[in-house]
Amino acid sequence: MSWINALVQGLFLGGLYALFACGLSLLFGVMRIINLAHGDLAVLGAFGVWWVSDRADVSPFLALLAVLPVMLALGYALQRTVLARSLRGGELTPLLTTFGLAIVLQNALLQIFSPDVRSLGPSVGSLSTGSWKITDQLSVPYLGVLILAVAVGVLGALQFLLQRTGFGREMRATAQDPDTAALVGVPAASVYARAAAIAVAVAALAGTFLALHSTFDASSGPTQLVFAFEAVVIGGLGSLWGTLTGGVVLGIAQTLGAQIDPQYSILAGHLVFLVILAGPRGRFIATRRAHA
Amino acid sequence: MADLLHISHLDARHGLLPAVRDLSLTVSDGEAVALVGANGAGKSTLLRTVAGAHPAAGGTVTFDGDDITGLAAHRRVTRGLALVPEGRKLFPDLTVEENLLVAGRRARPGPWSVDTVLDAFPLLRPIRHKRAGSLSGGQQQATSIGRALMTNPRLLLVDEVSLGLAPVAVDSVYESLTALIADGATVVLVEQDLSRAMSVADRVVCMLEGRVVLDTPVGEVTRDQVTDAYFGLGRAGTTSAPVETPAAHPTPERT
Repeated sequence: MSWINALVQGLFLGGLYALFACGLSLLFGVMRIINLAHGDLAVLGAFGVWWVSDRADVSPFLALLAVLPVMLALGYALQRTVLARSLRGGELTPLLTTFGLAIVLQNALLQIFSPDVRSLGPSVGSLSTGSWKITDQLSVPYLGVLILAVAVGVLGALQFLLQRTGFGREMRATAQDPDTAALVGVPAASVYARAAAIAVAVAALAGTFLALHSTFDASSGPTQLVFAFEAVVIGGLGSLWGTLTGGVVLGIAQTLGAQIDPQYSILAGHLVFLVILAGPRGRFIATRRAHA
Repeated sequence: MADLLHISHLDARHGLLPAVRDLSLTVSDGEAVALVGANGAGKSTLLRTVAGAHPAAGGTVTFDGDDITGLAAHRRVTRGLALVPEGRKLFPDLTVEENLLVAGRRARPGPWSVDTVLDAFPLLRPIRHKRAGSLSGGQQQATSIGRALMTNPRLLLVDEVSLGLAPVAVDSVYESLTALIADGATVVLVEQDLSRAMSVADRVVCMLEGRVVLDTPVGEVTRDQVTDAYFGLGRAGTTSAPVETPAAHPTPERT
């Protein structure tokens, strides 16, 4: 029964990873940018929510409503100023730029908020700790269900946006061939900026749920980036539902690993990632990148 | 007829290699111009520079009286310039209909919509929900022209429509183009196949090494005169013109 419990907890953890991964997947899919600052932008969002809810003494969910538009604007501005310029410098420049951005963000957060470890969990009361007890060994946490529901909702909304709306079509067209998209009247720069805005806002959402689920500090970003990256690769690049699957597979691998021995938790996730990278899908990713 | 497009002393380069040299050309409203010339004469670069996909190194492009030389490609589209690019360049993972809708989203108001495009290219109707990447060459070319029409262009630039197509597909694409031109569309058509080009156009412009060497109404010129201009024969000034038998018709190259 405790194995089933580990499986269920892994499913919910996977929801969080999928939430982290979809912003990363979106930026890579549309712009071929691997955003190494993704995890730190998420942590920035978490700090934003913590700061607003601390200052205004409101629930983190209300604070999130205030922070999300700010993060949308930040993503938009980031693309217009920094990323657009580095994209012109070739394929590797954005990688260096976002790496630099990650270092700047980590150190700025450390400077402003100190190295204290924080959590938003206490400020939502029983939501973060409570659960439905199914049996003695199996319980379903409120927060886990909420995170998974939000992840499915966000991924579904993104999928709808990409497949069914005019803006989504422009985004897919620009992802496939930006030069030709311009020739049919699509301004690539503005499509890119809006994609970056969405990606950064979703990262902030993920960061907030991380802060509700466990703890965070100024240096939490890179670990989350690694998990998000693994979830994207496991699930397949460019597929949003695949990203959800990838997150869940990674989450379950970690909790099952922890079930064997707590020190195997992270390692089990990495091993699943490496196995998939070595398999046929890994070769598919390699050829896909060569074409890009 | 009013001048719709006026190109004045235009230069365009690929790196250090000049592709279009000091070229001047005017296209009037309602005209169908065939742009011919050997491979590497600069036809595609000229079209891409006019559409904004390639930067101009000198000179000006004026569209409907406004200087658009420095304007981004997507802004030229909203002014009424559309290019059907060489190699069709569809968005392969989008369906035929989505390819059309992408172009129509920011279009100028005008007669073209998904329905009117599907009426003009009936072969697209049964495959409208298929992925563009899975279509045959002729279907892709029809989609590519339809996609350009979706922007309701005032000037349609068409680059190498028959390249790589089966002869029967070329016939059907030309049927649609002839109908468009008969409706009074302004078209600049790049074509390797001289007979095809001269059968639909009012005027033929021949390029050689980045310059215009012949610019004349179709009725006032013979095939042989165009062929001579095409190969740079009978012109003392050109030294590096390819030496080939003048009697040979320029075979359309299928690459």
